[in-house]
Amino acid sequence: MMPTPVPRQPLQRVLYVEDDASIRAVAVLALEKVGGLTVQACTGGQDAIARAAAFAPQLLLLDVMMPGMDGFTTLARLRELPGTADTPAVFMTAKVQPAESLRYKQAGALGVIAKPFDPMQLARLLRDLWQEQLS
Amino acid sequence: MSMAAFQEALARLRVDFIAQLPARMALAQQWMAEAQAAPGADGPLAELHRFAHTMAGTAGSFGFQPVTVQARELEHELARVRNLSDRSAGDLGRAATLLEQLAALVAHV
Repeated sequence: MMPTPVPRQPLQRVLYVEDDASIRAVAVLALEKVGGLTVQACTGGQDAIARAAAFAPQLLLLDVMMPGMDGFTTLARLRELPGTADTPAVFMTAKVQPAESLRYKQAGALGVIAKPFDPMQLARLLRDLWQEQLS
Repeated sequence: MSMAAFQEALARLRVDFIAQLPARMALAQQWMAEAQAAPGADGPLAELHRFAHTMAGTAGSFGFQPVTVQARELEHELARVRNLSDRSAGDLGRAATLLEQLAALVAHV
């Protein structure tokens, strides 16, 4: 898979896909209120596909293990849409093993954020991954 | 939003999460019972596996690190059991124990 393009703007708009309502609420709170980001929260892959074009995200933040459509499939489907074909992606998962990290990279992700996360640090982690692409 | 307001909002979400725990655990115990009744079927085990994975990823973000550790152990055990080609109810023994231990931890949250 081709590497994702280099981000050039400060990170502001994040499309976030997570099926679990509890963790989704914490992450949205953290990203918006601590990080000052604009977040479009989606409950699953189909929801993300439906909302992506109108939101025009700069970054996709995807849970991996979701019912129905997992994070990898969701990313592949979003890659088929013109508006998100090249949008950088970050996976968020409770399962970060070395072998799995390779799979995330192969899927074209900027990186992986491990769950559980510290709500105070989530936006910083995301911006760090974004910034790494600039350097 | 001030930091105090953020912490207050986070505390409210934590209360909501705690309130949902009994229902989540009841579902997990139901899936375990279904898996024990039909150990060859992957459906209940897959649901249980996803429950453990989600609990491992979520609880710690609310400050319940021991719940995350226990749920992760359950998740790993369920992954092992799901990979067995010919399962019997006995293969679920350790997972059932880990689930009981998780329920005990959650009851004290």
